[in-house]
Amino acid sequence: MQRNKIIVVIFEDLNIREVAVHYAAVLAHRINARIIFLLLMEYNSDSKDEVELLKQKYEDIILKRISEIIGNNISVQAEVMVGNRRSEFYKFLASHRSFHTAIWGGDENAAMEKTGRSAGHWMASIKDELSCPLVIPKKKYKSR
Amino acid sequence: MEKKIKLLVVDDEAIVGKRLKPSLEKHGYEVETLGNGRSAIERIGEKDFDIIITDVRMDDVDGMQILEYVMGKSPFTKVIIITGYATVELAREALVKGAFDFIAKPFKPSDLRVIIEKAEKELKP
Repeated sequence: MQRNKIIVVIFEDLNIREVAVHYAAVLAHRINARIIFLLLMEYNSDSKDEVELLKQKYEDIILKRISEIIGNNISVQAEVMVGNRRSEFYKFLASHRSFHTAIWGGDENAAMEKTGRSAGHWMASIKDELSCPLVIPKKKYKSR
Repeated sequence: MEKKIKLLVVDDEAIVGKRLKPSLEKHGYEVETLGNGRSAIERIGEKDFDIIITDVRMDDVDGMQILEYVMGKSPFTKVIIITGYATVELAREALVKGAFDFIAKPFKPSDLRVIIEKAEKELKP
């Protein structure tokens, strides 16, 4: 059966948060969705690698890491975009119709705070434009 | 000698052109800058550019109109849209209308250079 629902898991570096990957895997199984792991990387101008080579390198790393976390029983896709993260994410959203759920795989606080330590984080400024819920999985519940 | 890539930067914030011009020239590009859409349309009518970098929100003629004009006049020219008012809808509109790329301000010169280099590769036969 074709899986029309898509879950996107967003990372902003190679520090893959396991809790986000597990959450996506469980949800995908439950709602019969496929998962796109999206890695948005800044371009390091000192890098000697060409962008396309970098993308391939990052894609291999991310897929390997994900298979270490959730095994190979779930069909996943990795997409790597290199450049200005905010712009790359706009383009990613513009080129996909819609998502069932977006899962934030980066720093837990960064995507939430429009003020304070993470003020000005690109995800905080863009998340209101998502046409689907943004989930920020947490390992521990912190009471206020 | 290899032919220089001809680049046009259109932005009504003078500082954008002022900052980008020397940085791009340093990387070997031939750069012109203009501060409004109307003069950009005139200049594009006179001269073929390889890459055009244009802001969206400008009085009279905006970046989308420039994109549409370029697509009609010289479809091989790559248009890069830059904007301080980025939205998903705007990105979608730009890409659907044929923009080569889309970049939200503020950005680092290296972010733009990566896109220009990508465009340059597609220009080469």
